[in-house]
Amino acid sequence: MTILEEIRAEAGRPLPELAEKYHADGRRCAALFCGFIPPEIVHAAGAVPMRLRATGHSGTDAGSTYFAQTHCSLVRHAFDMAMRGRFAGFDAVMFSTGCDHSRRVYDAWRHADAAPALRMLIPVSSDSTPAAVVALERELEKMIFTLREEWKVELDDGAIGGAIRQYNKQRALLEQIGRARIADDSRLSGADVLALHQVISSVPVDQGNALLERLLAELPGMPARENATGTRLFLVSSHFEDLRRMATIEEFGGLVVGDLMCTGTGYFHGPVDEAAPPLTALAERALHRLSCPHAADEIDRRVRFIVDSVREGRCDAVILDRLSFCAIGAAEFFVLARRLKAEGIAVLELEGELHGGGEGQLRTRLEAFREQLSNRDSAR
Amino acid sequence: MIHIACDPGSRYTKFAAARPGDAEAIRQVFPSHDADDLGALARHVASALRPGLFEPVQLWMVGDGWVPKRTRSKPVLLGAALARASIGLGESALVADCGGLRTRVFEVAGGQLKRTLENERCTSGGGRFVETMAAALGVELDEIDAVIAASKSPIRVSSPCMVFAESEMISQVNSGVSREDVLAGVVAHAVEKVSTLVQQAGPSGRPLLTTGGLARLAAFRNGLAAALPGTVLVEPPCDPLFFNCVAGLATVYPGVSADVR
Amino acid sequence: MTTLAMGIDIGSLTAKGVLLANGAPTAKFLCRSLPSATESVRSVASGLCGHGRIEFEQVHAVCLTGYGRFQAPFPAIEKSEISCHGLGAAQCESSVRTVIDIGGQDSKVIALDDRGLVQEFAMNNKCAAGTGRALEVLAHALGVPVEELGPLALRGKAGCRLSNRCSLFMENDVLQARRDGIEKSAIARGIIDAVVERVLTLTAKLPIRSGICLTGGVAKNPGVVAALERHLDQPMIRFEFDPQLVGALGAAHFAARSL
Repeated sequence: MTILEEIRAEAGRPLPELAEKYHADGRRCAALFCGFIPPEIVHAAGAVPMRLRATGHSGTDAGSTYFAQTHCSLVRHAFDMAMRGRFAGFDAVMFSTGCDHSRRVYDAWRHADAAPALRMLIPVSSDSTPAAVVALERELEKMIFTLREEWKVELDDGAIGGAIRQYNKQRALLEQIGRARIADDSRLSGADVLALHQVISSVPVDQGNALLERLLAELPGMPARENATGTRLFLVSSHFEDLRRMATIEEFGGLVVGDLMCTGTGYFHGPVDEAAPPLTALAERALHRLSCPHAADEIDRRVRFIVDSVREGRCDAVILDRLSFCAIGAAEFFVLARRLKAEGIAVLELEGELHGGGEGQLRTRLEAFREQLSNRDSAR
Repeated sequence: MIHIACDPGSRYTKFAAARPGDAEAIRQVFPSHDADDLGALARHVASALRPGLFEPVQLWMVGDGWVPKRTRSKPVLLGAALARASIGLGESALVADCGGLRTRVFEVAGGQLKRTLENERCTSGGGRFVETMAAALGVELDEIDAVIAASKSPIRVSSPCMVFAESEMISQVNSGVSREDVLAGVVAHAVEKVSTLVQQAGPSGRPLLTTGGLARLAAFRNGLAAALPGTVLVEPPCDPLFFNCVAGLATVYPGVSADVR
Repeated sequence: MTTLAMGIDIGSLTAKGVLLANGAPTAKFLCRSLPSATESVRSVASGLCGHGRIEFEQVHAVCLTGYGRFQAPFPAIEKSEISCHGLGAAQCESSVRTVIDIGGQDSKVIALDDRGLVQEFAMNNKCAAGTGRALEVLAHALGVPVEELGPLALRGKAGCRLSNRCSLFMENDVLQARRDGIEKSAIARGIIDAVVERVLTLTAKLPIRSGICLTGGVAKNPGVVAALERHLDQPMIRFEFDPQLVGALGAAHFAARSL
């Protein structure tokens, strides 16, 4: 099995299965619903932070007992897993207030008294002002206090500082992957990188770093992708976990050489300041990294990031792929579409469920978009 | 006086009629798109009770309180009618009305309506959804149970819109999935919708009476029983398509019984 | 020698075809789509050959579009229906710059360049409320054939509003309006307005330039055309060529260009 095949196989493993494995190894694990929750703190407390996804889970009828059909697809799937006890093997589940749908699932989880017993909410402000940073620092102090009490662990600045360094190393390694990804002789598809991000965000950081180093060492020996010099795309989404959908986008649209997603490059973008006090640095990074559209005051930076990435990656176009019923995504993508078009960047807007569905419609839109790009090129 | 109850559904307009001395109501159904003059249809139903003779007719509209403008009809609230009919089901029970477009669950206790839950503005998984998919697959309504019985691996319906789900089903059949598996998936989707609503109503283990056209399907009832372990499924004393109508009639005309046991 | 190019458009409701001889339409065909897309393609190809009095082997190039393009029973090029409707409309009238296509199950707005090629497009997502299917369902609820819906709507007064978003709940609104004794022509106008409003949400995503036309079967509905003209405050370009076959015409031209 090649390393990329290993990564794909690992990405296909449901989180509860991974949690069982960590417990067998004597490690705690925590499911993190949102990118605002610093994995460094969870790691410093001796647990494996696992960014929540619903891989391998289908159906939402149990989840829908608390949520309307018009709720975010990720929330309904995740809560369905909770109602069926699939998080019983976790030691904690952590939520934030990144969006109303994910905020609500914290309430529903408690009301349903679904496992695990330790459920934490780390609220975050809707802007990234200095006051918001201070407020988040206070919330992180509460998070640390709770973990010390519940897990009986030492959790001091030294441990957190050590975790920061490890995660910064991971971010630097991923940045190298990002540069390799945009090369004309790229060896990586968007689906490869998506799978890699999913694996990295659900394994212990040292294991993740070892995997990244191995991948970077093996990349030069792999064959270049044939479509690396064809249509090149930048993908913007919120939560995106469907590898098959990514493969469809790449088969009929073009090679995805960059992304900005909740669970993708944006989540790993930018280091934590190792010179600053740990909690301040974590709060600063959480609010100033690029991932989340919930901070409406940061949209200029996100647009700039996308435009710069499109130019750097020599992308032909941007795809805005909204998860069904993602309210924040709807508002963000409306603005992004206009701003990107004003920059002369072609944009395709898509919408899809968490897992599958509507392949025919998706293919039609992608093919039509390719034709549109080809028309633009032939007119130049 | 002939009492006629009318349940004007999205697909079928049902009538139940009885005269003094009648213990059972007669029942008639018309496709709703042919049923805009409810007064005329009521008189037609009345003539079936007493051919050739005139008797005054009182039309009762079973539903949420709506009465058509051109008639002297009166409303009968469906929830209250079903609650009354379910009095024999014990201290607390649920009634799932599985209609063409709307699915409602009524929580009833001691003959009184306690609460109503309804599907949000989505027809996916309703009776109309099943009927349309069956038609697209060339299956008559009375063949659905037999076709589903042959299913080995029901598909999963992913589209929330009935119209798109229809093309999705046809694509599945074109790519070699058996129509039994597609239709079984469609009915399973309807079961999921109704069972979700029932679970929202609260603790399980209570008797659940199913009415409405969808409840005619054995595959649907069996699926619901499997999805709600511990719940006792109760069938109405007459064809579930007409039960709302008969229950409505029974509230205004004591001679007719709709009591569920 | 005559160059023969065939365009086949398999939609959710109807299957269409156009045969070009040296770039000019020489045969047309339309039938209801069959459950099997492959059979629909064969049926249209056979129909066109019959009408064109040719053998299929004489055809130099075929282009398939619509969802049936994924299941070609013979060698053919594939183009999206977006591109085909664009080129087809431009072939009918070179001044067309915006195409509104209301199909059986989807609707789209397409912006064209001066070559008749797609510059940008927007399509409906997840909702069939602004489509031909919605009109079929609602016409049936009204108790009129769908072909009569448009002329009926033109006679109707404004004011009957169908408030629901979903075409199936709108069906209930239609039944209720009938039971309340509202005139069918007013209900028909309400139906058309509701469907057109859904389509117009797409125009918010694209700048609408003058030179607008309507393609697809729904273009034959005079009520829809009138409602669009009213809302857009612009006359629509009308073709002599059957608007329902514009996608197939565009496909045929793509086939011809591939030679």
